Amino acid sequence: MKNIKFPILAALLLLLIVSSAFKKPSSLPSGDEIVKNVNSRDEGKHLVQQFSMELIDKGGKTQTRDTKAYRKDFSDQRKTIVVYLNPTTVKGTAFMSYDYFSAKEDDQWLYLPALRKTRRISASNRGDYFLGTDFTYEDIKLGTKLSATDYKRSSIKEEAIDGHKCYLVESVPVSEKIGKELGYSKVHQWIDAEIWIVRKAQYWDVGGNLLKTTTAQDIKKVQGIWTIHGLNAFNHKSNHKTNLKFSGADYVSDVSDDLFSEESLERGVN
Amino acid sequence: MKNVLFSFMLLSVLPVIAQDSIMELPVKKVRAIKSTRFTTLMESRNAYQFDGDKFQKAEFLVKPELEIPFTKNFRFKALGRVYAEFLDNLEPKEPNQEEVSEYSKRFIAGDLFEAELREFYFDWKIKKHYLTVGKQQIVWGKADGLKILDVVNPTNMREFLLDDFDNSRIPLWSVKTDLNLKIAKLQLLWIPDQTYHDIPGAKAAFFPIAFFPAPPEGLRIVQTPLVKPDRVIEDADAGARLSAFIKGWDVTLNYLYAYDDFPVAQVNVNSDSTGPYLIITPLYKRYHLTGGTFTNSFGKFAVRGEVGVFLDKTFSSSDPAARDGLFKSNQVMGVLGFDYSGISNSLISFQVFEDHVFSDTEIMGRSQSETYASLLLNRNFKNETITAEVIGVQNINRGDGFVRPRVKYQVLSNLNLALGGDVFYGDEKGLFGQFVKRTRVTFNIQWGL
Repeated sequence: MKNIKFPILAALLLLLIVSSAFKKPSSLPSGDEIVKNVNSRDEGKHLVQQFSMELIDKGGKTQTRDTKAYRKDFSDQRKTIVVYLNPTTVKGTAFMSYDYFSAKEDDQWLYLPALRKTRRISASNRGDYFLGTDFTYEDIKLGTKLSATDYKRSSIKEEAIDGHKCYLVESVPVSEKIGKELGYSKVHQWIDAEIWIVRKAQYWDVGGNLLKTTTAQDIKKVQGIWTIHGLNAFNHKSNHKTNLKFSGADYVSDVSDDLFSEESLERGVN
Repeated sequence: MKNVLFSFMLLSVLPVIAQDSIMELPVKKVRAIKSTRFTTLMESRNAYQFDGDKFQKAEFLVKPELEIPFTKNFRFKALGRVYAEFLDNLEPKEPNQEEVSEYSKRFIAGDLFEAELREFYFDWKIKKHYLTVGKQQIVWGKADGLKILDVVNPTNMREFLLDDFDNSRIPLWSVKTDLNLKIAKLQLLWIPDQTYHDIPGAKAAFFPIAFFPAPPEGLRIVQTPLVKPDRVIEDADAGARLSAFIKGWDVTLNYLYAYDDFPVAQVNVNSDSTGPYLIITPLYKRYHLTGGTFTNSFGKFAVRGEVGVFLDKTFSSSDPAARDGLFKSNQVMGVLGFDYSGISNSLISFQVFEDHVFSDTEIMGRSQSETYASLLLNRNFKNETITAEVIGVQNINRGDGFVRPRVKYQVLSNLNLALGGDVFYGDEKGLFGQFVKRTRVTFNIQWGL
């Protein structure tokens, strides 16, 4: 009998040790709670800021772009414009998006100065890369928010990033179809436990391979609102890097509702 | 001509004036002047023609651009272009610019060089409305490649329809207001600049001979100079566009009262001691254009449509019974386009154009109905540093068309190279087939400063 009891006890003990090692601490908020906190963070009703892009290929060749971005929240949607200021060869190119808070499909436009025309573009390709960067249209659209509907989320553990307490959250697309649309099969995000901003994220492609890592840098308050001033992405498959540097964030100056129109893109947003 | 020179001088010195004046201006104005932007785009565009094994063109362009936001609601913009075509093939010798008004003429320096004030306007924001006064481009329509409503500005046709529309469109001295109404935007235009399509001479590489067929043999022809409207007020064009975003649809309603940018040929018969002869008088006639556009996206598709109805348009007839060689008819042109972006980093775009003249009188240089189809395939590689594209346009009636493959490589942030070709095929009396012998390969360099 002794001989039988010992292995059972040993197995139970081992199970207890293993399960306690993987069990999340009781203080860890759920994935949904974390998303709620991130999405309710004050981002201001509107924002104007400039951002420069450094696009670095695997050989180290760097291309730069300077842009200006406008964002305004309305009752049922967020409207965004990104316009290129530099280099001269792409100056005036502008992207505009109406992102609806409901399930309604977003509306997107691209103004091409060489044609002097605005082209309506499909908003369903949210997994495509945004104008040559390593961020997808969906990444750009969400900004510092998280999708509440595209993923099932679970909080994994606490972990410090750059000395800041973060919750590691694992997100898996709710369906294979959504995963294909987004271009991701899994996402790990390290979310600051105090200011509810994603400090680091890792993305796996639909084949399950590590795709890219993004890191937020130089996060500080501007006009009372926590603001990211640097965002880097490294694509592990192509070894391509994108470094975004944000400056001149202005949450106070009014952004006209009329700015977010085709006519405005064609006139030239400044 | 003096206007052009003065404007160019102004374009050159404005940045200097702006910088020098900073010390004397209040803080608010200093901020505006510091926002002054001066950029320059340079391009080298070259083509090699298979017929005759020769270079077809060797263009060099410098395009300086100045923008001064004097205040948040008031800005000035000027755009110039210095142009050289070293082979003197697209507009041989000095172009006479008889279709162009005095105020919009290019400054021609010999056979090879020219300078042009492309844009020069002031833009005011008054409450929620805009007023733009000066030389400017006004672009209507949603079609790619062919123009239906995009006829507010005429075209320089030295490269037929091959040049970028931004380059070939001739800016006009105009007054434009954009009124922000509650649910729509209303654009009103007044264009007192009597400039029409700038068509190159008969010896030019892209002289559109299909539009100007030779008269019957054996007849004596006397051609009079071009008769061009020249009254600033009475001969001005005017237009309006109402645009709105309704339940996901971008829609516009357009109206334009304008002179047709193509001249028609009025024919009169006269006789002298040697017998009868024809007097051909090229002149411009007015039309009313009404139309509209719509676009929306559905999943991976975007749909575009554009329709234009030309009322009382005058056509040249090849029917000897036509009085003065002219007749009037209504004409409808429409395009339906589908853009598919279901493949990553790619765009597939298909368009069908229909162009129908209601009168069954025989029209010079075209059929009563013409149908065109176009296909565009575009794909980006390497984080959009490489773009491969092919465009094909075909006239369904005659079977003529052209195919334009192109690969663009962004070497540096501000340096692009492009290698491509323009292949024409089909009936030599067709819109595209007339240029079969102009089939070419192209190599372009674009450099921004």
